[in-house]
Amino acid sequence: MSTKYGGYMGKVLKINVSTREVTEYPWSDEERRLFIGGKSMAAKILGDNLTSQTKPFSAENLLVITTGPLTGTGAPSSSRFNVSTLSPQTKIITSSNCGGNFGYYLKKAGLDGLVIEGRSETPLWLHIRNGEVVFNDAADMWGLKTGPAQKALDERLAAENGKPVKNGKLVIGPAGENQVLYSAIISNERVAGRGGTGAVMGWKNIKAITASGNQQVRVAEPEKMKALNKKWFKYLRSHPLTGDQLPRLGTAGLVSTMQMNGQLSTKNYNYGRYDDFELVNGETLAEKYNIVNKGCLTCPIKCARTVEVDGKPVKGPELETLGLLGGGILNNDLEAILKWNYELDELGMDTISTASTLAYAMEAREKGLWDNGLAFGETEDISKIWEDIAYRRGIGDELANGSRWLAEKYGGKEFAINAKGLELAAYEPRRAVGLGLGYAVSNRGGCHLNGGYMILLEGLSMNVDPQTPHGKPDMTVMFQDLMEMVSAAGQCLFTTYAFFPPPLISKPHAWYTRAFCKAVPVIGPVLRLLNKFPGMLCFNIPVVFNQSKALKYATGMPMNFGKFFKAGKRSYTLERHINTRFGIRRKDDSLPARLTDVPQIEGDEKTRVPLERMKTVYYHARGWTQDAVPTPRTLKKLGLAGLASYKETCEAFRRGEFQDKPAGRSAGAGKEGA
Amino acid sequence: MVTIKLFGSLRLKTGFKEMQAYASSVSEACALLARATGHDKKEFKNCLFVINGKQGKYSSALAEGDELVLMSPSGGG
Repeated sequence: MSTKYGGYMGKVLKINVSTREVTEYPWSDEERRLFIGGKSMAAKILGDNLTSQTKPFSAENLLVITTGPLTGTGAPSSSRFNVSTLSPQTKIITSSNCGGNFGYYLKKAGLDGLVIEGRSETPLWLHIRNGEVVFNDAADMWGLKTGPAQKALDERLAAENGKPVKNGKLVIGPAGENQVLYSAIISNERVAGRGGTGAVMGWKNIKAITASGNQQVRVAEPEKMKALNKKWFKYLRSHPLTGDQLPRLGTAGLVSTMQMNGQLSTKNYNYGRYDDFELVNGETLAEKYNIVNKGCLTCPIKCARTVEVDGKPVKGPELETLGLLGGGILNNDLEAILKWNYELDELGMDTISTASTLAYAMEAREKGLWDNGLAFGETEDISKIWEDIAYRRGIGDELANGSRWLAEKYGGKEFAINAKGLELAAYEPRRAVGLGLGYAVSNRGGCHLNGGYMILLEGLSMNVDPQTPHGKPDMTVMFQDLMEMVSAAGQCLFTTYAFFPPPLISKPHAWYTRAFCKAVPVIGPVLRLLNKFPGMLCFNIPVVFNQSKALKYATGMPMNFGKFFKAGKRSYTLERHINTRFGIRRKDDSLPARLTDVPQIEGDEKTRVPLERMKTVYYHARGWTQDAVPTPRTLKKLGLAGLASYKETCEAFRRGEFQDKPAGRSAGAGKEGA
Repeated sequence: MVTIKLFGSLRLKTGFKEMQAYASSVSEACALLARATGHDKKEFKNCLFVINGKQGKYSSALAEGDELVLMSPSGGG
């Protein structure tokens, strides 16, 4: 199936690994226009195929790998791809966006995406070359860690072709093979970490996927695209965040800022400051261990660090890993974190969920709930714990199921730091309540990015009052929708930090920056209006927001800021509409009671997340019922009336199945909901 | 005597980490840093200030034993 739009290869393959049948997945230009690509495209595919009865570990579950229309066009930071599936960890749909080069090579192979169903009887390596799929036996690779597995793939491709083959790779490690619920898919050094996509790939008996080819991405307006890209690269390189802080320090640079703001999760989120933070912060990493900065293909930001572990250059840890495996478990040994980060990547496990699950287990033992031998600050045998988790041995077999599962078994839900089963990142939301809302309502579970990343304004880059709930729900909706579409277009979310004009970031004490920060909590109604009527924004925003123009030049679709924004809304609501099928309601948009009921600073009631009142405003701004269900009116307004499930939803609303009020008290309602 | 610490990209740019100095205000501390590092005072003036764990201003006063932290803005996780 071809396409009239540029930016796309016009072909999506459906691969049944049970029958080894390969067919073209029907994906129309109308769907391209509505869902653009990436996670949004994947959500539509999952929504069309999954029923409420589908189980994560079943032949019916799909592993959907998609690219966006900007991938392969030379747009900055656009070599990405997305993996979506029904998550075994959260039991709702998950999406994981990954850098590296696989997205670029999938397009070189002539494809916009892969839809994988079934389960192979034997270990499999899928090689996609110029649109053709080769099913290779991977029995000899099964059991390999992710580094050796990727090396083996290069060697086999070189042996088959008589020379090295440029390719993009996806592999799982032992964790994915053993269905650790938070196992990841690894691509070079980059990781599709969240939601357990690696476990689904492992269950399907797929060890690896490689892509290669010589196809070219056709751009609708190549000259304009080229000129825009040139300006865009220049702008990103000049911005204080994307051109200075991230290249110099990577995400690790946030540790110190979070510490100062009381936002650094410490001892399983008991506290927001870690006394030894200077031993495990980004500055120390850069000064003592960083060898070289790296970036993904076409990325001017170059946020990745390379460090040395046992004399070998390996990927350095991100902020989340530093925070959660540092203060999170009261560990001040940075060298140990570097080593663990490498080990977890080799085993193919999400560092956030692994670390947070470990912290829960340490606290459960401290409270006498689970005698597991783990303790805060005692980290000598941690490497063995990783192996035990990956191979599901001993207590590792239980740790492999994540903090939600453990809390259901041993108790302590109030300190199992997850939302909808997905563990939170290292940002402590009691000192950034907008982020707290984002964590709770995020479609994929406790994710700072899918949650809208309000903390950027709440102390990291700007000084919007982190404790006020005012204006935050509307701002969260706006950020979520924009980030949703940046991701769907195939671009790295880090480019969104440049939405804020440089003076707002580099001059925090200037009158205009202070005025902006003061204004955010009081402009909620204005933002609500824009959220309700994105079509009003029928223009492009020059210099700082290039995404809409880039999509227009790449695809030839009519596109402006408002249409881009609306597409993000459509995608976010679609994901929620699908999750509704799996039972997600207001009560599930929750946080552990530690974060909503216990002030971080004793006696200061403001230092907890006032979640319920923010949720009420948030659902209203979204056009969902107060029980967090998108209404037929909202679905229709967003162009989702064509969904097969739309009629069912209308009928369910007519039958009164979905009420415009909460169906049950939120788990995190606590004091404020009482 | 106050303790002055620098975090963020400006620390890597200047190579400056920490020093003990006599400074009665944040602005004076910024001037000291500019002299010590050879960098423009404006660069320090545009940092975020934290005095003993609480947000400060360029005009904030410093007292004996205070810890002043300067951070350049950050984002991206």
